[in-house]
Amino acid sequence: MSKDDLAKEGFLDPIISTASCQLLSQGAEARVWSGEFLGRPVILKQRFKKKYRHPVLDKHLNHSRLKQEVRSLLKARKLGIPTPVLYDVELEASTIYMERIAGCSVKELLKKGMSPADRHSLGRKIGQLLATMHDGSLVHGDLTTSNMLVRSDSQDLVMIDFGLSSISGLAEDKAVDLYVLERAFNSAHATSVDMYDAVLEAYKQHSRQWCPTLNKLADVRMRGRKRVMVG
Amino acid sequence: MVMAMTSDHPVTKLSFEGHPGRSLWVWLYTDVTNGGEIQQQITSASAPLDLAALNAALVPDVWILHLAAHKALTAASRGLQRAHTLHAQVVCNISGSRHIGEALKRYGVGKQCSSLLVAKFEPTPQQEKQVQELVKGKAVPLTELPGLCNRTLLQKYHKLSAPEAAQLVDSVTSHIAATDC
Repeated sequence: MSKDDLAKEGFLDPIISTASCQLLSQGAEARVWSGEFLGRPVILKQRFKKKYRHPVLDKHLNHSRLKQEVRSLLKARKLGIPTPVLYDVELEASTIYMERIAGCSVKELLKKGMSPADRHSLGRKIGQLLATMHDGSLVHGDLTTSNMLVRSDSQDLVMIDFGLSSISGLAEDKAVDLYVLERAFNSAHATSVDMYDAVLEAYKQHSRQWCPTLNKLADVRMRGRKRVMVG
Repeated sequence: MVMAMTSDHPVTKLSFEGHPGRSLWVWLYTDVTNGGEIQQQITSASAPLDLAALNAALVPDVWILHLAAHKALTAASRGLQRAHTLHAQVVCNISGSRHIGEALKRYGVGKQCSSLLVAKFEPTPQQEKQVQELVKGKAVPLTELPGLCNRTLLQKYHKLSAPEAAQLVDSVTSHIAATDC
């Protein structure tokens, strides 16, 4: 395939060559690299081609998901949720360039061990951010403790990975968001379940629509994340 | 970023690791009196000046210009450039919108423009001199750029919310990056 054809399909190599970057992780949809961009530390996230999909469909899905992720990042910023600064988007290479945040994920922090007081205050911070985000109709879609970072300098909480997020005002979607986080706490950090209580407590205080969301959360707990589809 | 003090016109040279060999030279002027004249020369049909002249009040940090230039070079190398010249593309990228005319009007040089950011890709010594003779104003080092910013206008043009405006450079960066999305 010529370079032009590749460009049309959206799979050119990023301008910052990935050969000079360090592969951080590979998921089902994208590879994440760490590199340098205009003299700043940067994270590259490239969504890759899937050979098992029809090329036309593949391109369409890749592009729309990339755009959705960028829009959600901007929306979060608009609402005042701390997110990585977006540096560049290369649609032709399905690549996003983002600020590399110097810090630790909440997961790592919990693994290292935190005092109950620290856990409580961090939990409250998470709850407050989620309330702001949900009140602004932004649903994260993949709320786990590894998608929340704490900056090492200012101790600010930063949300990352909006790859599965969407705009929704439905209590159902918000409740699923909270449920996914609850599962993450219960399974990965069995000793810090008290932290999730702090999350919910702060969520209740700061969200204007906490009542329908928490009612739905009870429903979701009964049946799991997936909705029963009848008819 | 390399700052050099050549004569009385401090110039800053920006390089791009994604585009080896390319460099952007940047000058900053305050108390500019001939904005309208410069605009006329850039847009003249017979012998247009090929450079980017920006209203410095709308560029909060040189990083923004660096980023816009990188995007312009990327677009040019992939055949996706929308504006007529590479320098016009830089001005368009700074606006964070896809409306070329409006971008040039808002962010480019104009009659009212009193502080000016001039940028050119790899000028020859002759072109360098031409730039220095073109602008009637006070040449100042680029470190003064953040102080010249018109935050209210920038906030209006980028439609920034209050929390966004608190982190002006970061928010403008994100908006510019997401122009095509």
